[in-house]
Amino acid sequence: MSVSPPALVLLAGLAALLGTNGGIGGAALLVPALVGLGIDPAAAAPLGLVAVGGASLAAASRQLRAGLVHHRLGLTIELPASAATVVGALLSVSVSEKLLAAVLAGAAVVGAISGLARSGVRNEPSPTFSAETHGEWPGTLGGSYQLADGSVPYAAKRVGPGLVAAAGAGLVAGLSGVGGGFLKTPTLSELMSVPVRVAAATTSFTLGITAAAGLAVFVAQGRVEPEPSAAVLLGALLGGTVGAVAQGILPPPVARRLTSVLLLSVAAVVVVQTW
Amino acid sequence: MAAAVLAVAGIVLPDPVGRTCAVAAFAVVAFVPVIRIGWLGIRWWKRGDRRYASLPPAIVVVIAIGVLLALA
Repeated sequence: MSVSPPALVLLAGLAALLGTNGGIGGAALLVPALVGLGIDPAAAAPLGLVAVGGASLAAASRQLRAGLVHHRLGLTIELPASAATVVGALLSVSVSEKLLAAVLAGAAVVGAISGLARSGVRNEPSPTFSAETHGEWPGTLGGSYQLADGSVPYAAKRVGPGLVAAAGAGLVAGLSGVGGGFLKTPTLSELMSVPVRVAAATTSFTLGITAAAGLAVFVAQGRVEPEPSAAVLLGALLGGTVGAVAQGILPPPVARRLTSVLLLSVAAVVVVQTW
Repeated sequence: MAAAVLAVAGIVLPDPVGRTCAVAAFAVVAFVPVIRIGWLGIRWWKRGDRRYASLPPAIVVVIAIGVLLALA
């Protein structure tokens, strides 16, 4: 491992701060940075998933209190995503690095464009739902959340395509260790019409499970080093905590634009680094 | 909080204590999400939300199959 523990803490912290705030997880920024610093992609992938798990852990309590996480929706998309993560992790030792980079960059650009193409707020506050308890509605993939000017009801649409897209995100996560949040958040918000704040919070929740699935396979393959993992985890916890605070403050259009800018940055880093 | 303390200990303390703490910090990250979804599954089952209560055990089975395949 050519990067010192303090540097790993700093890198993981910055990546988690930016990544959690945009709902993409920190590893989408951390893994390309680690590979750029000379760490082998096979060693960077487990560190990426540690960062993903740490950021998810850090954000969990605040997001639970805010009622933004839709757990039923999260676990619905996480089942195919976890299965694909396991497959990706098992295949990750035999995939061409350039092919993987092309997939990563292409997916990030598509996600960024879909986020930038839409303007305004799609799910408007409704006075009908102002007296309802905020959060997910039992037995459904719908719910409501609180904005400053009222209660916003929503219901997930296009669930089938959403499951396929989540599986794609899981595959990328298992192959590369980037978590796949930069694919899951646009999947939930743009494809399934879930409000971006709920999409980002639900994605953060599911990324913890994705990380657990991928890390379980990486441990079984003997690819996890405890000390660098502890350094990355510490940075991710610190950055993820601060990022979760900011996530509750930003208006939805700003969060969406920030996520898109981060996605384009990730695509540029991956392309420059690989070619 | 526990994960952060264990991670700090894993970085600053000498081996073998430091390494043990680092492993424990890693275990927290790997197991907390599984425990969390297990708790959700039990809660939904008790409330009669059987369809969604089946998701957590299905995810755990998927992870277990992955580990077995990696070890094989």
